[in-house]
Amino acid sequence: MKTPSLILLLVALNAVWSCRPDPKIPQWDAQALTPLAQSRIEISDILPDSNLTTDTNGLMSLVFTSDLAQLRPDEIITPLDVEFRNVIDLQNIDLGQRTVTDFITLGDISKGGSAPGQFIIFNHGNMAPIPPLPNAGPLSFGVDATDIFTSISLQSGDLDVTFSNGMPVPLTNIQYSLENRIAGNTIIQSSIDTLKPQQSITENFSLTNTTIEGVMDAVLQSLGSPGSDAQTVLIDTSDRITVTLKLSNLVPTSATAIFPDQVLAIDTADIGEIKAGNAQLTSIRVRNGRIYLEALSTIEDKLRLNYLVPSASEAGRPLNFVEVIDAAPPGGAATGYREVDVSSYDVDLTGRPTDVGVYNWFYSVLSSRIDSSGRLINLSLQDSVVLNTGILNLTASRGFGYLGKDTISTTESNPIDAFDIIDSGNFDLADARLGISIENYIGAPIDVRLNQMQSRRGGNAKNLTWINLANDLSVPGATLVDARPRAGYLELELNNLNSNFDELLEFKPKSIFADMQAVINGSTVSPQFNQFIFADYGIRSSLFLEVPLHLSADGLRMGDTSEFAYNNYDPDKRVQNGTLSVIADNHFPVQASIDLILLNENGDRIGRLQSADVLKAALKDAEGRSVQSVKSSAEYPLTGSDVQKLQNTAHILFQVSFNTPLPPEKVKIYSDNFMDITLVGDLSIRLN
Amino acid sequence: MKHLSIILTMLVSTASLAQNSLPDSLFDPQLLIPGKQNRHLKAELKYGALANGASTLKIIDFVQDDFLDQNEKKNLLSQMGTRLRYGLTRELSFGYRQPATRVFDKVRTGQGFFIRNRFYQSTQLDNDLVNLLFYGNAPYADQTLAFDASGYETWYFTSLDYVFDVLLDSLQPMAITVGIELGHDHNSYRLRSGSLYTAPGGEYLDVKLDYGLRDKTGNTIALGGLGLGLGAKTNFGLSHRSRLEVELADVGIMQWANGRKLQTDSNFRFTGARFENIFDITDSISDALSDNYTGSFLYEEEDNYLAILPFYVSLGYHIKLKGAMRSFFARADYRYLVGFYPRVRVGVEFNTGYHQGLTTSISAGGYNWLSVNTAYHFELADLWHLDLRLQNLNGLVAPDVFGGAVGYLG
Repeated sequence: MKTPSLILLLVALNAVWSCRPDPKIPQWDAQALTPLAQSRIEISDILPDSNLTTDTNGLMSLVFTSDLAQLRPDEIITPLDVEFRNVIDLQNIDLGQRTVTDFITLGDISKGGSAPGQFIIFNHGNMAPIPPLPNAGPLSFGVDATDIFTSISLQSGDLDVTFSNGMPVPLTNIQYSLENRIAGNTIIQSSIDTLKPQQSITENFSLTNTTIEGVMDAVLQSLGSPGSDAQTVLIDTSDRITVTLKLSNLVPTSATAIFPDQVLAIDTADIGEIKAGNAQLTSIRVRNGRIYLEALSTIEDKLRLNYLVPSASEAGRPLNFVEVIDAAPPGGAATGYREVDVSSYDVDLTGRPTDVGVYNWFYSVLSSRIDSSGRLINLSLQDSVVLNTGILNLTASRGFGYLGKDTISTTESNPIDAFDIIDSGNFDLADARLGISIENYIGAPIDVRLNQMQSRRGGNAKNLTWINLANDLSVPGATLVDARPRAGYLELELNNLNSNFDELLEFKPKSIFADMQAVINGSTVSPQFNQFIFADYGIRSSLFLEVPLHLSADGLRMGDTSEFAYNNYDPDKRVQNGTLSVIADNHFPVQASIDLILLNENGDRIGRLQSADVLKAALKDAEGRSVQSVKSSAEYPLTGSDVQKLQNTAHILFQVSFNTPLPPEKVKIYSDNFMDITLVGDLSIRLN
Repeated sequence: MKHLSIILTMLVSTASLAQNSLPDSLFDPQLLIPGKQNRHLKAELKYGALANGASTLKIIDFVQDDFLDQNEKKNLLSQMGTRLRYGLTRELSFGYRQPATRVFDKVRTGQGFFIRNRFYQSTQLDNDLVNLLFYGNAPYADQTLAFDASGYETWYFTSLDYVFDVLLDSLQPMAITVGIELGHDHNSYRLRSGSLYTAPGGEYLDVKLDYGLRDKTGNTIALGGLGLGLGAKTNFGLSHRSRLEVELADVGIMQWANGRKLQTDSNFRFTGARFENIFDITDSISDALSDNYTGSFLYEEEDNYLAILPFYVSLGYHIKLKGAMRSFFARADYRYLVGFYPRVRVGVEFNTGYHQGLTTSISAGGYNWLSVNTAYHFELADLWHLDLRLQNLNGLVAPDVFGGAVGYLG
């Protein structure tokens, strides 16, 4: 075999090998008769489990509760927004007491070259009589206060000058003055006649409208002494006269000084009245609210601001916060802002500790102080500290005290779903019970009035008639248990004798409408301050319905929609046609017919599987209770067209119609009632 | 006309240099007249289907029809008897062989290699099971259908064979085949016994099944399984005129990956999928189906599995004759496939001329209860050998009596 032939052969073989030689098999139809599904239908499959109860005999009842109306206080207090402004000027600034001390020794006085002076210097350390000293002077010495200030222009102030004689001889004819060294002007001038040994004399001077410099000269214009009067004394040239200058009560117009630590201001202010209608509240729990502090300072020193609300506390800790404002730059200003969330704080509203009979008020204390930096800083009359404090949108979640008289009203429509599954038909109830409960979570007695109640469906309504309609019904106030309100409770029963409520039920309502109002402290004579109100708790009224399933039904049709995917059951689409049969073993004393409505993905109806047969009711006794099940079946022809519709079905609406055998004769549904159903298919299946 | 086209399709010719055929699969081996022991390339194609009851025409009708109506089902079943056995094969092979050569008193061993691609589809169905498949269970409501052993299996695999000769003694060679088996697809459904009772109205089904399922999941792929197959073939001379031929082929196992297997013997009543809430069928369906079918019908275990290759055994006797009949032979063989019964065959080889020969035989077993077979061999230009074979010739001649036919070209 030549190579090309071999290659061609291999290619041909490979082409044949590349596919599996599955033979073609024709299709044919076979008739399959098989159970497809089985289920047990109990009353809980038709009605929500949570809405069913059973009495001791097994009789089922439909029960449900529904809100009728809820009344909540709009607000316990009117939201509080308030701001306070404090301005601290230079006049409020304390420059403190400033003291400067200096001295003149005996040696200084003796240096003049006089004979007595020479004698004293010569006898330093010896016991000798000191001769009389002629008037000496002027003697001058500097007073340096630049470590405290460099210059102060005073609106007012005091200067105390103290001379203390530490020499062993009296001093006479002391004339002195104090002068600014740079300006050279005399600040004060005075004289002392005699200053005995070890004696101190203080003279006081007013410094009104005076400017003093940090460097001054104290000048002794004249100083003399009569000597020791021939008595021998120890001559010590270091003995001195001490001069002390004390500045106090300084009220500057401007200053360049070192300011000491000091409290600038303490301001106690009533924040304002909490507006709460005619209630007299002793305290509240804050729901929302913020307290802020805003400061602007031109002082070139650090400010410490302390904001205290003594009556506001959280877990026993009063509201107290500190804001530090940095030193302002020369010629500029420093600012600061602090905001504190006071949510969940408890606020006492009985005013200041000394107040009596005050409600709805609370107060705050703001203090400001300078933290001294030890630096020389400039101040002028234009310097100030501006403080703004305030409260933003303070609301309350709880209020305590006398709640006053208030009326709360509501009109509500609450949906009721108990009858949603009923599409059409009628039923007649043998018995039913309706309760209206009113729970009062407000810590004050209320008078409740149900003005109107309606059963509503579509645009139609059925009014309730009831002997207590539009009457005031007293509900006791709630009590506090573990800091939570335990409701005061009132329950009212409606029955066929005092109302027409069974008609409201047979109306198959979609919603219940109620017009209701409550008056707080409607019957309270004098204020009771042990009352409370919680914003999240008000007055709740609800319906409680109990309907024993003792009824007659006439074409009572219920519907339920289920998703459906044909491919789950027949992925290869083998079903051609046939018949579906529902075989039922019925223990319910009602007969049923079931239709299947086929819906596409859009919810549009595309077909219907229905049977002319009904699933027969169980046999019952004279009381209407089933005593023996009955087996029956219903057939649903399934054409090829029906199969195609099923293939396009996305949802199946099961419509089950119930009829009691002889309406209005009533039957009873017991917990042991059920219906066993088997879905059987007699189907032509396409096979291959 | 369509029947003829099918037959012609089976008779597509190819060329080969051949002397000994490889082990046959479903069909009669060794119909060829032995030729010279030359080195050769060999290509073979076998294709066809056999059935015990249905005729070739019926099978062709069945294959060609798009849809079987009631009459066609009835006609088909009327020929089936109590049990339908059916087999379909396609085998392609290509290879090179240097046979053992005897030169005076010595034997020179040979070797070769072959690539064989094979597809087997084999089934055996109880009559009641076929009725159930064709008509469904509705006609048998309130009756019990009992099924005897039935099965269905397919094999699709390629063998890479190395053939070499070993000497049993100084003059007795034996051809040994070692093959690597590459699996492409495999299914095996075997029902040992079963019964089905359909309640009146179809309220329930009582099912008893003893069956095993093994299935390679997914599509046919190049390497879905891997196995090893061994074979051996030799002749024993009984006299100067007669010999005994023994052959084993495809003895081995295949490991199939990504398979599913189920072995169960269950007896249960099926009452339909249980829905907890019939009005909420979507939520219930998966649970319901799971509760009712899993463990009964569906595969429970997904895993690799081993399967014994459809091995082949054969034992033949040949005796040379004089005159127009060159030889007489008798053979018994068996292939391990469901529905394939042990087969016996007797036949005669005729001298029909220079470089050509004709073989006819009658066999019983396999998929047919009786079949007449023929083969024709001739040489072209001393180097080209062409073999044509037709098995179950009677299925073509009397199609309503004998089922199926297989063609061979090599």
